[in-house]
Amino acid sequence: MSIWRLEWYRLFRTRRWIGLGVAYVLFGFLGSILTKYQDVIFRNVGGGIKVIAPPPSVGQAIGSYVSNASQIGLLVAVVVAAGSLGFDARPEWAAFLRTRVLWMGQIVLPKSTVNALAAAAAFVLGMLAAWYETVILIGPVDVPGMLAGLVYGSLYLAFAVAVVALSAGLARSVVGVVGLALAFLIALPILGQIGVVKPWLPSELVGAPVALVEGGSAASFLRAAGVSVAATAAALWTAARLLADREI
Amino acid sequence: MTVVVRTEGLRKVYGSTVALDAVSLEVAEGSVYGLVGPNGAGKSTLLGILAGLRRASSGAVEIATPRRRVAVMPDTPRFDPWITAREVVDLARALTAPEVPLAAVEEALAEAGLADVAARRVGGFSRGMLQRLGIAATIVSGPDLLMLDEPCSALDPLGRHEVLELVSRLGRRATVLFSSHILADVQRVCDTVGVLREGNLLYQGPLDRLLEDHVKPAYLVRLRSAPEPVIRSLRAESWVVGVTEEGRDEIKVEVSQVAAAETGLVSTLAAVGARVVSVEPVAADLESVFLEITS
Repeated sequence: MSIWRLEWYRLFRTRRWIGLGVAYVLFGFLGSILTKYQDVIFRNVGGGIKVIAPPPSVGQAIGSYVSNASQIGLLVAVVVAAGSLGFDARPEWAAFLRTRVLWMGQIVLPKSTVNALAAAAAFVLGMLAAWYETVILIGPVDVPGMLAGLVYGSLYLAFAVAVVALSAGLARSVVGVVGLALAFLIALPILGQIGVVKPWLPSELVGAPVALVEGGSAASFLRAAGVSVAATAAALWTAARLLADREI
Repeated sequence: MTVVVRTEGLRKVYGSTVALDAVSLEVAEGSVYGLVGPNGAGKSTLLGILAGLRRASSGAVEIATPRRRVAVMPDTPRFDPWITAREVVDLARALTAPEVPLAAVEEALAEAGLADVAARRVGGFSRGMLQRLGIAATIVSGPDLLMLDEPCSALDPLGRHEVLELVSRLGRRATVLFSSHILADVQRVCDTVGVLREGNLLYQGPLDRLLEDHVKPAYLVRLRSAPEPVIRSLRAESWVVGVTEEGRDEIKVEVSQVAAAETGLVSTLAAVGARVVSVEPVAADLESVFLEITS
């Protein structure tokens, strides 16, 4: 038994993986269907209003999935990660773990890695579902662009989990950890309104899959990817330091 | 004497509340050290600082045992409800002493009386079972220093007996520092005691010496006849400090000189024609000593 295995058990025995899977895979399947049949949907629920929409595109279909994944999916991923990384919310359990490790990284790293992998796996499965549906319903998808989008999207989720870890170093309750992490993740796109900063922000990676299947360059996201990797490492290191300094 | 745990002028302040004040603790290697005190005396705070879970406001802490050889059990252990008892103990083993064979997990569970429920998830465990599980997780790595915070607080009398026996056994192979407000438990298993009240360490030293220092020589006399004439007769003796009725047919005789009492008590009782069932010396107990030094 190790903390790595403990975290896998947490995902499966508490059925948190279902929440992650449903949030991403469901939207993966729905995105392309909604895009393909949007005119039919509007016609039937629009009360006679005529909507003229452009013909469905691959970018629209993937964009529909990414939009939902970056909202509902991210929220679920943050809550699941906070349930694990917010271990100080239960002081007795925290005491068990804390008195058995030499440094907090021994707890933070496995917990963050497992949660990031689980979120990334759910995101990838959702993307694969969206890819399949898009090919069936709309048309061929640019494979290199899609693969690069998978990597960038997963990188962003790893960054998001690291933000949860950092929040766990700042707040003690699970609700506090979730709130702080979401506030930080929402603040990034707002910060992106400053044009010069935008290409460097990890939040740029959210839109990467759509831009890449529409013919964008993977290199244009390298700055955001680099910052994400560095920020993830810094957040995890800071989280370990903050947690070590906290009294139980 | 090798000191395993030493604190110097330890002070812990929470806002305007002084939880610990100038506590200088010394725990000798191989001892079973009982930290006693009423609720709120600062026992858990002190153990928390020694365990590294809290920081002292000032003062020094020195633990001679390597960190990996120290095991800590909080007063109310709790675990994720979906893991089994075996997994909890195995996690403790893997984190602190991965070199210890897996068989040690089963041994620790058996020693804590949980062998039959090793495969059960801990969500349904009673407080007593969780406390036993905490003990199993503490001893699995074979630590050199154990810090147990109120290890018997949630146990029934049988469970308490078993855990105290376990602590006693552990004391033969490791240094044990355990806190309790149940003085009888401390008296039963500890050889050294520290008395804490309102954050102050009022006494620290061998339990025997504490009891000897505070013992007032006294005898308990059980009678079959009326006690009044006996009481009057004893009060007339110069070596008798006081005589009190303990029950309907029992009197406690406090004396100034043991030698005088040993020669004079029985003859005084015989002279007054008392029908004596038994005469026995009153042993000092930690509870009365504790009340005396904390009052």
